[in-house]
Amino acid sequence: MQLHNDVSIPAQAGVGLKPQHFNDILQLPPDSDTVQWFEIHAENYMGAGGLMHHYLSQIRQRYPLSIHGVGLSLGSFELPCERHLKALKELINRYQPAMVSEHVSWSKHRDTSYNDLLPVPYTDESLDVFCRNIDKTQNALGQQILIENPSSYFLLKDSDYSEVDFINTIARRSGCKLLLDVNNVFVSAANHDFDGADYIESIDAALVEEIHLAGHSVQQLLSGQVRIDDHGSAVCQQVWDLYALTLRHVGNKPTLIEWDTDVPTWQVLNQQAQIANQQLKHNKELTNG
Amino acid sequence: MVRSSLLSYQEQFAQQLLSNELDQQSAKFLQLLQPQFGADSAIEEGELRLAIYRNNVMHSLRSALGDLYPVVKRLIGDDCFNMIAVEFIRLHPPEQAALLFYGQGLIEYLKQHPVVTDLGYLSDVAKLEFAHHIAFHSADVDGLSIEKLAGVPPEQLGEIYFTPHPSMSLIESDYAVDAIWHENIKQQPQSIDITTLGRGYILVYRAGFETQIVSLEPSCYYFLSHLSAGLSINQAWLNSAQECNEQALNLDNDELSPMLSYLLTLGVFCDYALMQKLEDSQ
Repeated sequence: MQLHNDVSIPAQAGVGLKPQHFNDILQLPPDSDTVQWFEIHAENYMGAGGLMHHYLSQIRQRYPLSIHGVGLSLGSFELPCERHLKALKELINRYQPAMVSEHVSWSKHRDTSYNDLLPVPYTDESLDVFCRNIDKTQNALGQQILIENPSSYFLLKDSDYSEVDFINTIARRSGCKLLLDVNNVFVSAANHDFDGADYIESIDAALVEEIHLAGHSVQQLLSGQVRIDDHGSAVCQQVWDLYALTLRHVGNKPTLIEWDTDVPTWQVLNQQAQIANQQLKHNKELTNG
Repeated sequence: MVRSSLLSYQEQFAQQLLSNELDQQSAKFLQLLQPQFGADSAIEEGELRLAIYRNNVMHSLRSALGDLYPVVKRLIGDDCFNMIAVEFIRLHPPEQAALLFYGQGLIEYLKQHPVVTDLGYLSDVAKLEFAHHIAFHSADVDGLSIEKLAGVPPEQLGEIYFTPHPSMSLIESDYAVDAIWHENIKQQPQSIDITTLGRGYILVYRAGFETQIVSLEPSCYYFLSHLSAGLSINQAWLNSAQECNEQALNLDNDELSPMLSYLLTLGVFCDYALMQKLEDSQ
């Protein structure tokens, strides 16, 4: 397979790759530059062949790629699954992504994979477990990974660290980098009553290599609202505002628009990418001026 | 408050994710949460927050099974399918994170489920849908063309054995489940009288990017089954002839060549070899 020569990902907007948009993407004119890269969920491409790989190969020939895993379960007490690491490595060999990322969460316990991103207590024990699992992963894959900050619906009593200190410490100790999900910061800040801007400004800027943006929904519970990270809608204005603050703190970074449920048309997704690009341009002007 | 180790926490949370309902164990688990909500409704809020995770997990797994078995879901309706799916997920949750490997066990689960036991065809429809899924994701391998056999001396043709295409599955059923499938993938399926359709002898495979579901003659089905099991052409044909004989079906030797051509044209094999005569090497 002839890969796109420029393997690195520019500090521009990318979008999550969805089968609904395969044909739209391949029909984009050569000078179309709103969306400059794509990200896939690793687990969706762990079959051996067929249409999914066929389209991904064609897209990869034209664009750089990021691989985002959801199932490795770096926060599990157990070591990451060997079979899963092997499948991830094969995917990396096949598509030569510019970035590989996973989550600060867990999803697997003993023989069951729960298909959700579950919260961890921010303790010394968890820190050791994450660093051990990230070491194993980075060695097995032969490359550095990024870890993404979580969204959550409860916090645990048993905590030695704030979430942001926990994440900074993992990255510094293990040598991985950070994927800063601004929507997750907003959702968690709302759900746990902390200041999202403080969180962003406490993240070690030098460690951030990618930004995620997404939509979320609001649900009414007993004592108020909870925000649910469902990736099922446009990015809201408050998250765009937090993104602007993020760019001032970390600098321009590759920014991914995630929209995984109720996937919109390509045109709607493209519009989201345009807004991100406008903000990146504005931030560049601010810092240069 | 006793400090809970990571393992203990994950053990407890895992138990809460797929359990039927919240119970005393849930109350114990909720003690681990920070009481960030108003004191009055702390327990109820905790339960609602836990419910978000429970719903996320169950909903996503149910959706995955619905996407894997859309015809089964159509045949029994959303409510019945979802009820059975939830039971199945609780009994047999996924082992792997990649959900494209999940759900084969539902075939057997449907077979013995009291609510759908009168739908004799249902489990085999599920089998067909799973075979379709496997074919969709199987490796990209070219089918073996008839021209590739041109160099084999005629007297050795019978000693050929084939490697089946990785996408290939064979399904024998008391019901023409391929007909049920073809009808129920339409926008507006009509009802069909399966009692008039006889048994199903079905081949599922992929040529290029098109997954094919093909109804075979019983003799062709038996022949392909034996070839796929690694028997030589001669041995596969002998076995097929015997099976046909037992069912009072006709199978003439001059049908072998056209039947083989047909299978090769479809592209159900991806390689061949000549059978080694084991007796010679002993």
